[in-house]
Amino acid sequence: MVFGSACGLMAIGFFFIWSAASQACAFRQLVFMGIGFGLFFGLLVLDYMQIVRQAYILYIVFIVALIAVLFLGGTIRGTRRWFDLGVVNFQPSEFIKIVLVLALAKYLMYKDNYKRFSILMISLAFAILPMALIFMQPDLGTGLILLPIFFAMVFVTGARIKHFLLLIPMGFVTLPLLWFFLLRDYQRARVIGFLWPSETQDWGAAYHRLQSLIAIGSGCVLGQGWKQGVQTQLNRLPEPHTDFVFAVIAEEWGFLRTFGVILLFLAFILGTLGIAYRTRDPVGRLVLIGLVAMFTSQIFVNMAMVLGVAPITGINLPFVSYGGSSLISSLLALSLIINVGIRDKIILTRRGFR
Amino acid sequence: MYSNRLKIIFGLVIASFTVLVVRLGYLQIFEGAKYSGISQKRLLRDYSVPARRGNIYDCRGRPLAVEEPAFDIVVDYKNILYGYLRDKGEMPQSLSQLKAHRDLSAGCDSCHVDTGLWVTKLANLLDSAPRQLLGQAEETVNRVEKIKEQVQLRHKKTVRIQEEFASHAIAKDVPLQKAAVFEMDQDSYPGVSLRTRPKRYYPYNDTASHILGYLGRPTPEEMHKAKSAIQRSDEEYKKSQNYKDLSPSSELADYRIGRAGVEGYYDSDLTGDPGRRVEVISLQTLKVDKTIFDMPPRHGDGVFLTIDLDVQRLAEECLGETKGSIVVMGTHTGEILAMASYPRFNPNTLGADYNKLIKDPDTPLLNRPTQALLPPGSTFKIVTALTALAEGKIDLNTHFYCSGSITVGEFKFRCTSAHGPVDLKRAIEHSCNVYFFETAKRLDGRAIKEWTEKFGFGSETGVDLPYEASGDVPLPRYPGERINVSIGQGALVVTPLQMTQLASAVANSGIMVRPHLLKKIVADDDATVRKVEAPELREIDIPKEHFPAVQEALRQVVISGTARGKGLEELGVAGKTGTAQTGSSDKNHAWFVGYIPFDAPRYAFCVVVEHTTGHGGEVAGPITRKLVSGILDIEKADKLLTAKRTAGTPK
Repeated sequence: MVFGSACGLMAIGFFFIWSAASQACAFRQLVFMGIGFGLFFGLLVLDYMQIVRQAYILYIVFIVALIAVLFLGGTIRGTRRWFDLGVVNFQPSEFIKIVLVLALAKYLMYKDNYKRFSILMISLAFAILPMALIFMQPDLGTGLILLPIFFAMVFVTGARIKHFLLLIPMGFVTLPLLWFFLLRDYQRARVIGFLWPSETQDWGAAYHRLQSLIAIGSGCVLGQGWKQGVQTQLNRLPEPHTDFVFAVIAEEWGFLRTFGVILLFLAFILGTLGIAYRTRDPVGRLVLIGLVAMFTSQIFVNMAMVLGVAPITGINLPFVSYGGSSLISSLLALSLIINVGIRDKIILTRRGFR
Repeated sequence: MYSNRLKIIFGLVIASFTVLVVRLGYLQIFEGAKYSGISQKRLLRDYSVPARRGNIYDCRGRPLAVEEPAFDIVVDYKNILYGYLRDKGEMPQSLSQLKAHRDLSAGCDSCHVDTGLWVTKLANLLDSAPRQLLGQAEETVNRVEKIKEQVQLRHKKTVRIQEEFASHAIAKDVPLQKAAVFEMDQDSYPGVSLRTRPKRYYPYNDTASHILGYLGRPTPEEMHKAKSAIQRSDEEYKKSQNYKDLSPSSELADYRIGRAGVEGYYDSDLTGDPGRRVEVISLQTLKVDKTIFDMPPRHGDGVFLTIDLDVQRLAEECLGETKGSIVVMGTHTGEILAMASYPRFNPNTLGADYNKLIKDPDTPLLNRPTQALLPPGSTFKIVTALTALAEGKIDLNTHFYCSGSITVGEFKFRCTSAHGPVDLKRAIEHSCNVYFFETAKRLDGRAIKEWTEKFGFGSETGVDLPYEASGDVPLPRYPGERINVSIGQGALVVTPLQMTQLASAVANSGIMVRPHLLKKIVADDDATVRKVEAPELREIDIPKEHFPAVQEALRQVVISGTARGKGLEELGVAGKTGTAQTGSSDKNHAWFVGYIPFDAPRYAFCVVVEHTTGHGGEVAGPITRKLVSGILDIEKADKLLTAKRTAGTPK
């Protein structure tokens, strides 16, 4: 179910990238899929436990990559997120999400004392470090995705609720710091523009939101037909083949089929949760929960943005949006999910939980 | 424990997906009408709010070009259609869609009884024949129907297009009184309204018309560019794409582009940026339901010129009705105070006059100071003299004997008279050709070309006006050619502005200024956004000691030389006359190029009268006298005014 729905989503992505951008773009996505599937099967050969064991090394490697990209990365619209590797732009922030899941899994797997607050804080530090580096690119959205990963994983290990409650005041303290020191002017404008639309001077963001809503509204129940969407084909949408691809689907396919797309996503997430529920290995389960949190928050934030209920951030839709790093990292995550699914092992190590 | 917590995660996932589905369904099914381009009840209208074009002022802030409201009487399309149908007395088959309208009116006489009556009422008001208004109505109906046909052909279904909901102009440029009468009694004209439209107005008519330039209709490419700048999101946009070649969309109907002069050169500053507004219109009332998006326009900037209206008018008066040009420029700054050209045109009536103007053999659309290419005649001897001094081929003691002519090869070159032995000063003073012929024989052609170009000839001065002519400096290879060029004849052609630049360079002892017209550009809210940079200076590498002699000689020209007895001596003028021969024997260009005051120059000027029978001093001399005394009077009046003001202000 997981594999099938992911493939379905990628197929849909292929056709709507074709519609929103160009045929060439869609076929380039096909090349990324090829690379992604190569890595997918390559990774399946290894036991996921072997991968988890190397998690710290991977974590350090990618933290270094994140630091390096700040200085050496290619600049797109004032942000430094990419390494240009010729065929594909390598975006370390897309992969750090998976690496964080693995690292947290390794960190939390042996700990009986997960109930201690200090463990919680160290886990948080695992997430905060890459988050800060991603914020500096600046890329607000991708950075924030790391938080739900942390919360979900720590939550499932059984951390105490009152420890979580302790985090809330901490969050309130850090919010103003975030606002004044980390956010750029345009990001503040977007947040303000979303919360108080009448106050904003940022016509661009408000205009993008409006265009997206018009596109979705134009879809109605049955849609305008593939490659027939007025908004899309007239380039009214910002980033129609990446961040706003869902608006394209909604406009051209209408409510019924778009609902189907959401169901595919749901099937993918629930399928993963099902594997997590069935597996007898707590580490595998932890990895899967982290990935579920990653995918769910990404899907939710992207769709909420397109549907005009969240500020515009640069988060794309997994499996569907155009982009090499994003697609390949999604396929690697899928590989891990399948890996856990096919290696349903009896616990040989000491029990990590309970 | 983990299974419980897994269930919570499961619950969160389900909840978030439910939110997404509900939101999607709400947008697409319930609010679909609001956000889709066209629905049964509402229409989303996305249009640009035009920016006001900036004004042009003279250096003292007097408006030279302003935006004025013009009044159009516009009528709702529905009423135009009724008027048209009533007139025809039948329903044309091709307009089957319109049946609905008539049926509607039949069922509701109380409110639709007047719909066709506007024709007679308006005809009474405007004192025009109903036939004329009906002709306009017919034209409008035909145009809209044609567009509609195109659109329907494309979509293969019947549609209603934006034009059917809009008002269309039936009478343009209604006089103010009529507009006022209409405005007071507007309620008795249902479906008719008054629309103001900005119109460019030049308060001083043909004064400085070449400097100001004019506006013109955009070409299809420019129109397309302007259109794509205005982003539109609704369904209508796609349709408007289909008939973009048929008619400009209503919001761009009044779009104009600066075509010449300052209007053209500073067009982007004057234009500003249009705003954008997105409105939901309910189709039942045709009223704006709510405004979704509103971005105000950025109005165009005001452009202040260095032109002084008083001096400009004086210069034009001095020129009178003789073909030619006058330029007055600040010697230190390059600020152009006046730039007169005759014949002129009136930009207010350009549309009506255009065909006549372009056929006129005297080319009234030509801005002579920057575009007329004329041989400079004897005024060019200044350049020849400085070139020879700089090259060291002559000095102040070099004497040549003028017997009245000189023979080079088989050609005989004549002088104005036999001057006897002459040195440089006397040669300039009396404009002795032979002296310069002898000088030219000593110079080589390349040096002449090189130095001439250093004085700014052969290239544009860089003045801020479009289509400036660069003139031509030939390379004189043979002695005969060199002799011709040395006295400003032959293939050498210059513009009056280049000569003014030369005069200022001599007055400044070798420092060239870039002539310019812009004083400052001021934003709509009166904050200065852009000021012209400090005067652009360029030094010519001629030793400074060569200039006093030339300056003295130029002063002697008005005291005892070719321009003596013209009253220029008393006014402190220094300058050089010139009589450039043209092809026909009795037609010359009369030049006077100089600066005032001779001892501390402030203004450089150039007077040229084209195709006259007289000589430089005789024709250009009196004009110069009138011009210079006028400038000094204006300066004096200015000083008095400033003195009065300072005296009047309490300490």
